[in-house]
Amino acid sequence: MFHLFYENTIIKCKYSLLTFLQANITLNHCFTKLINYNLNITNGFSNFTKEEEDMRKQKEKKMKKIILLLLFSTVMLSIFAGGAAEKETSDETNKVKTITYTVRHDSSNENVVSRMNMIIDGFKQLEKEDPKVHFEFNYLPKLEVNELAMQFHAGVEADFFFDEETATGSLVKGGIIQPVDWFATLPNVKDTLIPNVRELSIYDGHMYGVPIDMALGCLYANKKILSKLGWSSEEIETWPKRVQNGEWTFEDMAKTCKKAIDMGLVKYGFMLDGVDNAGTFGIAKSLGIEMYDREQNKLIFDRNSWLEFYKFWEEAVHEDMMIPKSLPNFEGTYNSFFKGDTLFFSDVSGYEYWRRNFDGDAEKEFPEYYEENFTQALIPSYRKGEPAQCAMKLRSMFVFSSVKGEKLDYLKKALNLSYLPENQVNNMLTMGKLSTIATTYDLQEIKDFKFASDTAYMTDYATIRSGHPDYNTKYSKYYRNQIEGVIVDNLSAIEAVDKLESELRFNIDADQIIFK
Amino acid sequence: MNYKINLRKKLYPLWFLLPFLIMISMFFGFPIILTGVMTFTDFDITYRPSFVGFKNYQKIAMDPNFFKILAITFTFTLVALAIIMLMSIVISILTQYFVKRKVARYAYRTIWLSMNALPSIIYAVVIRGVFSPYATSGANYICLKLGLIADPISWLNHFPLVLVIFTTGFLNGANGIIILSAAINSIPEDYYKAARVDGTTEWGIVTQVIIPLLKWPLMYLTVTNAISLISSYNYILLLTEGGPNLRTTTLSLYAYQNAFENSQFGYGAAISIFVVTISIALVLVLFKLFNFDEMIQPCRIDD
Amino acid sequence: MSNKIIIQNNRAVVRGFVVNILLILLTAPVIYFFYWLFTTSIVNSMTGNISFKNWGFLFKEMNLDSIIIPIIWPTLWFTIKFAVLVTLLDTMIAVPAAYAFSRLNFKGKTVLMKGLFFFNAFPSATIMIAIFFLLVNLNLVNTLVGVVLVAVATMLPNHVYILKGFFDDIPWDYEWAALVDGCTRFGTFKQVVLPSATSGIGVIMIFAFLRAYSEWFLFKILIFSTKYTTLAKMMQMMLMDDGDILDYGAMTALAIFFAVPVAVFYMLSQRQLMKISNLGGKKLA
Repeated sequence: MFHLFYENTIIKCKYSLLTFLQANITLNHCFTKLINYNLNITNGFSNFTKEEEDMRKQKEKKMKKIILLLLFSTVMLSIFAGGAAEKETSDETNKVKTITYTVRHDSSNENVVSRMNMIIDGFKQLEKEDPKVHFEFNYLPKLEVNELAMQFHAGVEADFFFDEETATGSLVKGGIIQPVDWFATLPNVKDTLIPNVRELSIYDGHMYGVPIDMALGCLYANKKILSKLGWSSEEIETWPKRVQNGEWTFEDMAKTCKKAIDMGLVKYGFMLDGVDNAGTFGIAKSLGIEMYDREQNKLIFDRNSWLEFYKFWEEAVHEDMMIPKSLPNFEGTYNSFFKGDTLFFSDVSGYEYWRRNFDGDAEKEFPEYYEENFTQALIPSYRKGEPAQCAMKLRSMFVFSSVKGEKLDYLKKALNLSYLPENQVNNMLTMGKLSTIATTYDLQEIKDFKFASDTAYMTDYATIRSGHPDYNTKYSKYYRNQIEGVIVDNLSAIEAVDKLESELRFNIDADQIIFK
Repeated sequence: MNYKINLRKKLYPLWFLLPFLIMISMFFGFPIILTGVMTFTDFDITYRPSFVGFKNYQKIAMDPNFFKILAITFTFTLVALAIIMLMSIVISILTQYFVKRKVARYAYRTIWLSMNALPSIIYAVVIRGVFSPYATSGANYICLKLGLIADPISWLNHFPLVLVIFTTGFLNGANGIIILSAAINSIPEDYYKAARVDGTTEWGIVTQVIIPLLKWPLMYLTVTNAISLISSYNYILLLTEGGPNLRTTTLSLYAYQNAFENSQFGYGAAISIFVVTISIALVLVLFKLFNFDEMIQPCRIDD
Repeated sequence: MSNKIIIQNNRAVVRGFVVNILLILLTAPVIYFFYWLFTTSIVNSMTGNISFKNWGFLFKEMNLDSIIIPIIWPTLWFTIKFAVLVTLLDTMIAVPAAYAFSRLNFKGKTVLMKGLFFFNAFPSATIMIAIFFLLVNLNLVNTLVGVVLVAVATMLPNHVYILKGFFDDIPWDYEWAALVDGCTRFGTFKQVVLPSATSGIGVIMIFAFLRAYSEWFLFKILIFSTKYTTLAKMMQMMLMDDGDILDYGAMTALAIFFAVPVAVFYMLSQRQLMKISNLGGKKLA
């Protein structure tokens, strides 16, 4: 059917293009003639007798008519052709009730389709259980929070969408989403939801986003280079454990990097994916910086810990050469890690992103290549004895505040089914994002998927960025600006902290932030 | 009877102007007024604005980054304007006047006009690629080969403002070439012949014949480009997003970021209005400089 | 005497040489850019061989890593349809208005003419919210009509200004002659002034068409789904994808495909474009 449509349109396109070009050429021709005609007049004298003038006038009129006719026909053709091509399929009303969900989701973006498929699987199972109802899905493009608010307040109806946890605050402030506390009480979810995830999903006392999947930002290391440095294979094997226990800290990492760079094995010691939102958050957390007070739902600015933070960046970039000076616009950070130019790498993107950044046939070669060359651990603590942690990007499903009644009930039931471990598997395997249900990790397929199963223990140590509305757009941007300032503009740590404080004081309402 | 004719005479232009006036007042003028009203509110993502008077404007003045951004805006505008005007003049004179062969003229014109053909996103991507911090591609490669630098530079980190100004200037200059080329084309050959008979050198012809005759297109280009540069943030957003640590943030980019990234529409709109005021002031100065009033011809038919 | 001529000839040759070198230097980056566009689209980035894989979007759906590009022809079709509609509407409104500014007397003429410049001063993004809500209240949001109207309205001030320049160039004698012969004012407009200004109208149509052809911002804000996609919008979707690695091959192929109609258009309409003579300035004696 698509083939027919395509052929149909091609013929129409070709015809109209030809007509259009033809019209243009004729127009050009006519213009030239008219210009010549005008030139003759401007020159003051007319070379022609009365009859020739009459003939010329007639020709001119004729040409004008032809031009207009061509234009008109092109326009009409295009409108009709275009109109004929858009045929609406009408829904047939069966005895079965049809409920349509409007989802804000990029259905063309292959990488996120599996997320939606997980939800659709739940709905399909629901259809089997309840044969009297049928579900359809209508897709609208996914939008940023601002445009979303704009369209929401303009009355565009939609039911749910997926977004990161940092968007929560703005969406709640705008009254766009509704709390989903019922999720934690669903029968299939109650006992199997990872407790850390349940805690982290709560914003301002309620759960606003249904946790769909997550990506963990931990520290990746190049095994081959570590062994060249003199680490025994046992040391490499136990390294993740040592980080987890707090024995191996940032200092150790700095020393290792320095050694590796001095020995000429690598170009860079520790790399992030640019001065990234989640990556630098991980570092900030391991330095012990608290940016958010959960109980009061306010941001926190603790001057001393930020001073330490910027001191770290000063040293890392200037003295130890741990982090490259070109980090802010560095393209190909993943590439440099794969090639072995970097020893340590930290990012919160998930398996799929790694696969796509891999040169070569990702499907076949990547899993083995990864296992051979790389290992991962939590982000080490800054001081000995303190717990290590990792940053987490939690992708949640937000439900619009306009969804009520029957739709909401069916949604609850479908989600209940989607969160059975069998249904969670696909999303993990195709996208490498981790499931939020603990029992999924007991399935054999997941146990075989090393990238995920090796990092499963980290979920208990995970922390997330706050959902406060001023965090993502302001706080995070300001502190990252100062990181860039330290790296590129050579600001000292004190200058950076002062600047950060003044920006926070100016831009964030005083009742939303606590200064220490 | 006289009053009837007078009335008709007064109403007559209206028929010509009516669709135009309706269109721009409804779809251009009215949103502008609405935006102006927005600056006096605290419109944000909650979509429940309340009037706050001049608080937004006071906030602009108290912004710690204000002077830095203002300085960057002026640098950006003036330098980019200079690049645009220089490029347009030099290239149009070279291609239209000095190149004698028609085919070559045609070819050059098409090449430069085609620069307008692609949307700005592509150019941004290309510039990012050419000036990437790798040693194997683009500018770093050339400079290393020529021995100008020892290590590959991260251009976007160290020279962000230069890159941004250069890109905006170069790509907007391609636009001005159309207009100036057309204007030069319409200068009759007699002028050149007369000047040559009088013994002027080629350089003299350029400065004393061509440029004075281009006064009006030049004025048009200067004014429109000045205005659009003050309010343009397209390439800045695509290349550096405001630069490392606000080094390339101009006023209009700041307005955009406040409105669309921080969801503070009221404050962003206030900054935009401020930008517009600066533009209007600049334009009024330019008008006086170029004697704009002479351009409006009165109607010479009195019926 | 002959020595002077020889010197002048030599000077001319040297000058020609210098001019050509200068031009080539200045145009070299542009030419290199087009060359790079072309080669990147043809060469497979990983193996370095020539392959036309990137041009597959001409015939079928292309499945890139992060986005699916649909077959290009319906999109091209729609883009041209949209551009033609905008051009027609723009011309129909701008021509009478420019005539009025050039030839008729009315109160507030000077003020309005100066004001036309100021419309350029507003960055389109900031008034977009106001436009959005205006269209919502007029029930025109998410419709083609709404986008066309907004697109035309944003182009009108500039175009009226340019067209006014063309009308100014037409000598008053024509109109006087026609009026003496018994034509009405409107008759002179239709029969005398319009034909003489066809080159100017052609210029306006070209500008409008090209501007509409590259329009993506309005479609991003005012259209809620992908049912109305232009070529430019498609390119924007591909290029502004969050931080994914760019498929340079596909992007350059699409860019060339996008630019070819424009280049063809320019080539066919060179004559018209070269006729923007005085831009509303006084005729220099």
